[in-house]
Amino acid sequence: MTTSLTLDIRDLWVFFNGQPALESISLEANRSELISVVGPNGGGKTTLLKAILGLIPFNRGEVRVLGKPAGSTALHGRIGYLPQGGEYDRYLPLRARDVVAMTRYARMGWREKLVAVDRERIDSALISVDMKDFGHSPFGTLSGGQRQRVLIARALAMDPPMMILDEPSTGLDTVAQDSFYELLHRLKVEKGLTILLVSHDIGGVSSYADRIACLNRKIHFHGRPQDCRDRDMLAQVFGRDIHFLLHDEKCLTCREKS
Amino acid sequence: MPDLPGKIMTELLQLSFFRNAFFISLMLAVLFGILSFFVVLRRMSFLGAGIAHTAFGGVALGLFLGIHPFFTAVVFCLVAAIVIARLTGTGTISADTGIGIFFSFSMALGALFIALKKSYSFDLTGYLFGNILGVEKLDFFLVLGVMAIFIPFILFFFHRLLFLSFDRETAGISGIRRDALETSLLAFLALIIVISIKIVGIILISALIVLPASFGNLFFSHFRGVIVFSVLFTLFIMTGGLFLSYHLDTPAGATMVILGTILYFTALAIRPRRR
Repeated sequence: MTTSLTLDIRDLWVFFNGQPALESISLEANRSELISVVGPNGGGKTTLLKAILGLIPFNRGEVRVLGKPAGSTALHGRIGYLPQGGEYDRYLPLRARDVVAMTRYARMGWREKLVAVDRERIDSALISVDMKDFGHSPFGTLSGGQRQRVLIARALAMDPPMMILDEPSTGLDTVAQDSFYELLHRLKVEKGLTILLVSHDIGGVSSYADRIACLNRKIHFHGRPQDCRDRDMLAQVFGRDIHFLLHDEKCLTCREKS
Repeated sequence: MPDLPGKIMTELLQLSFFRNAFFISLMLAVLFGILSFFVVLRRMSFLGAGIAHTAFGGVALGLFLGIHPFFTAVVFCLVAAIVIARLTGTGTISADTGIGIFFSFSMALGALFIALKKSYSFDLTGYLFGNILGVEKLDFFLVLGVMAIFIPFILFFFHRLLFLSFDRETAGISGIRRDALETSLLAFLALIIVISIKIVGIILISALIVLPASFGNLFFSHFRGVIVFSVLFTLFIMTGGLFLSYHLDTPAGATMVILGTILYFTALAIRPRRR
C-alpha cells in the first residue's frame, strides 16, 4: 500500500568519498504523523533530509515522497521546509507577512501579484501559528521562537501535505521549545500533516513525536518514544553525547507516562 | 555675482557631452538604486567591487586589440561573475578567495596589455576614475538597452529574487529556479557595472552599489521604502555630483562618491532611531 504513505524510504545508501554516510535506511511516514529523527551531529541527519528533498543523489535504494520519486519537480511546493535556524540581520527590510508571502510568489508565472486567495492563505497561515498580530512586524526584530513560527507559516501558506524541519529547536529556550512542539502537534492533528523533523536533542521532542528514529549512519532504533528506553542502545548510537541528549530527562517523563 | 544655478544648468545641458552624461546618470541612478538593494541584501558588495575591477582587464584588452572596450569588458565581467559564482557555489573555494584572486589577476592582465600596446595615448585615469568627456552617443543607447531589460526582469521576478536572497535553500525546494535567477542577477550586476565605467570609473563603482540601499536601510524597515529612498539617493548624488563637479572643476565620479559618502554618514548621525 505504498500510495497511502507520504514518505517511503527503502534501503537507502549514501556514500561520500567511498565512505557510507547512510547505511540501509528504511523509514515510512503516514498522514498525521510526527516523526523525529534524532542522532549526534555528523550522524547523517542532514544527509537524510537532503536525500528526501532530492538535493543529493543517492547510491542505492528508493525514496518516494507523496508517491513521487525524491527530487521530482512534481514535489515543488508540496513539501514545507524549515531550514536550520540561521542568523538573521536585525535590519532585514522584510515584515513577517512578506516572509510568509514568499511561498505564494514562488510558483507564480510572469506576473507576480498576490490575489485574494493568496492573501487569505497568508492570513490563515499566520493565524495557524498564533502570529496574526505580528504580520506587520519587521522579521528581524522578532524573537527566535516567533521567527520559527513565521517560517512555519511560510511553509503552511502553500498548503503542503508534508513538512520537513531541520533542527527546529536550535536557539530556542525550553519554554519556547515546548510551545513550538505543541504547535507542531496541533498542526499535525488539525491539518493531517506528516511532519518529519531532525534533532540532536532527544529530550524535548520525545513527548510530542509519534515515532522516533535514532540515526547514527544506520537507524538503531525506530519506534514509539516511550519504548526508547534502552540506555545501552542510546549509548551505542550517541556515545558520549548521551548525557547531552537526555539532559532535561524528558525521556524519563515519557517513560513514566507509558 | 555668480550665475543663477538654473541658468548654469540650462547652459550645461546645451553641451552635448554633458547632456549625454546627465541623461545617462539619471538612468544609471535608477539601475544602481534597485541593484544596490539586492547587492546589500545578499552581501555581494565585495563581489561587485571585484567584478568592477575585473573590467579593467577587459577594457585594456579592447584597447590592445582595437575593439570597443565595452564589449571586451562585458565579456571579462560576465565570465568573472559566472566563474566566481560557480566556484563558490560548489564550495570549491570561498567567495572571498575567489574574488580576491580573480580581480587582481584581471587587473594584472590589464597592466600587461597596456604595457604590450606601448602607447599611452588613451585615457587610463578616465577608465579608472571616470571621465564624462569620454561619453558618447553609443553609451547612452547601451544604458537605455540595459535598462529596457533590467526593469522588466525586476518587475517579473522581484519577490522570487527576494525569497532567493533571504533563504536560498527553501526557495529552491519551493520551486524557484535558483540557478537561472542568480545567474541573471549576476549578469545584470556585470552589465550595469560596465556601462557605468565612463561616468563613475572602475575603482569608484563599488560605492554606487553599496551606498544607495545602505542609505535606504537607515530610514526604512520595509523593502518598498528602502528601494524608493535608494533610487532617490542615487538620483541626488549622481546628478548633484555631476553639476557640482562642473562647478568645482573636479572629476564627476569622485564628486558623486564623496557627496554620497558625506550624505550617508550625515544621515547615519542624525537619523531617528529605528526599532
